[in-house]
Amino acid sequence: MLPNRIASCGAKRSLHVSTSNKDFMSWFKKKQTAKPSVPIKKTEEVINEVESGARGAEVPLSRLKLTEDFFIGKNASDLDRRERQSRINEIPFNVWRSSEKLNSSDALDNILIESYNSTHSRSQVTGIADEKLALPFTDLAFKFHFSKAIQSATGTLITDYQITRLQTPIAFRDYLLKEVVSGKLAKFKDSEPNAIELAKGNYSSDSIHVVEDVRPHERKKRLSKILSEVEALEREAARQAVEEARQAA
Amino acid sequence: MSLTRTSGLLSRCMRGIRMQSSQSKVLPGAALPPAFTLATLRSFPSLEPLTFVPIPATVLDAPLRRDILWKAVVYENDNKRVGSSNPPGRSENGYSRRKLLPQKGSGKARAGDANSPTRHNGARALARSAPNDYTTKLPQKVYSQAFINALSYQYRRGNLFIIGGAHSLCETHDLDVNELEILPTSLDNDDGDLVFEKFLQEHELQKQNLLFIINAPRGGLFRYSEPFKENVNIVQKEFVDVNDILKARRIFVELEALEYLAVTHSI
Repeated sequence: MLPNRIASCGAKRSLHVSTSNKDFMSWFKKKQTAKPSVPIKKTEEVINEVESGARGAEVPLSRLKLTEDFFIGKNASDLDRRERQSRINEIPFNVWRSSEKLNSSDALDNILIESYNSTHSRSQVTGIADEKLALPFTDLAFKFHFSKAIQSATGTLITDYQITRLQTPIAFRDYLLKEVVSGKLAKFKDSEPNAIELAKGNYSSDSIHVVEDVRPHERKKRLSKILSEVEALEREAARQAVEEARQAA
Repeated sequence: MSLTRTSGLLSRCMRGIRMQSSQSKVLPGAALPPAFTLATLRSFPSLEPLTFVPIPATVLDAPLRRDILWKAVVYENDNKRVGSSNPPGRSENGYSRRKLLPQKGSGKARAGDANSPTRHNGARALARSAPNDYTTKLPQKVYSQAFINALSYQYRRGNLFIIGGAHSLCETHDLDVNELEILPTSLDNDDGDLVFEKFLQEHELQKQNLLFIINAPRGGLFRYSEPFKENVNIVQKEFVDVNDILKARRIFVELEALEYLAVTHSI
């Protein structure tokens, strides 16, 4: 039913389908039967032409629209981001803090001694047990240079509030041991500033069992490992099943 | 017998308390709280320390008062309300004045017209017409105390970075400036947005709510932080709110702006 109606639309003007023709005189003209400008070919001929490559030159290249879907490979936005990141990396920046993070008390002791010796011109210390390290800072300039040297070498920003309260070089050591070397600062989250980290070592009683917190990154890593193992097992099982079926046949 | 002994004990205790209160002894561990706290002056955008500045503890180390902060936040939010709601009263509501039911005999409760506020789709009781004023008042001293309190709170958490270079102990690096301004790497390159993004990456500040309190208009900072405007709030010193300070994860304030705030809100 529908194809008949569509075919009739071409021959006669259905008032509800086509637009009105404003040229009134065209009603009296003889309607010429529309002839196709390009001769119609049989499908087999067209297929043969295409397969032989004869129609290759006819393809209008100017009309080809390239969208992202036609490209194989990386996403354009990813490439842009990567390009932008490479440009950012080239931007010169005053990096005054070490990128290496502090992870041991020995390294901290060395940094502390170096910082003291480089900033205090009059006296030098050789070991962490030196009594001079337990003496209060003599002036603000020394305290400033010492705190800057410590922050620069450890790569850790010490808050002004703490700097005000730390009165001796050894107090800086205690603070950094407690906050940085212990890993407390690394676990700190701005969204949960007062979060309490429980650890097994804090409790000696047998009746206390602490479920250690697993970081989301480690969780994902473990899950992907399990999934890949399962996939490998399934593949192996399928291979064995096919082999058994072959042997049975 | 026991009563007299108890009364004797009581009187002796009372005497002891009176003695203690009259003899004002200083406690052994007592000390005056420090009058100043240290703040590091830094260059921007590397945040390299340049010097220390002592700042009165009343400005940056005021004890936390949540109640005052709450009052200031409510006060500010009340005053921000536009009050544009325009709910219709029963005289403006569109229904007829016809009584819905006869007063007696229907077996139902008495009812007036459909505009009654007690009815579904009825008018609003205590209707009002815009502009509605929701502003509240707060004593200036309380607001100032809240402002100082908010600054002190962020200072104690290590979220306050003061930018400036007056009388510094170190020289400012060539790539840094002593004000909250972003400059492109050269006059030919318009790459200030990359510099700003580098600053965010170096200090791990991406997707964090940042507040920049500036002393004077900073064209470069405004222009180049535009792609990150969802997280970056740039406010001139005169227009800073307690809300702005409390909501920010990191605050970068120019020294002159901090001086202005300290003087304006000194109690």
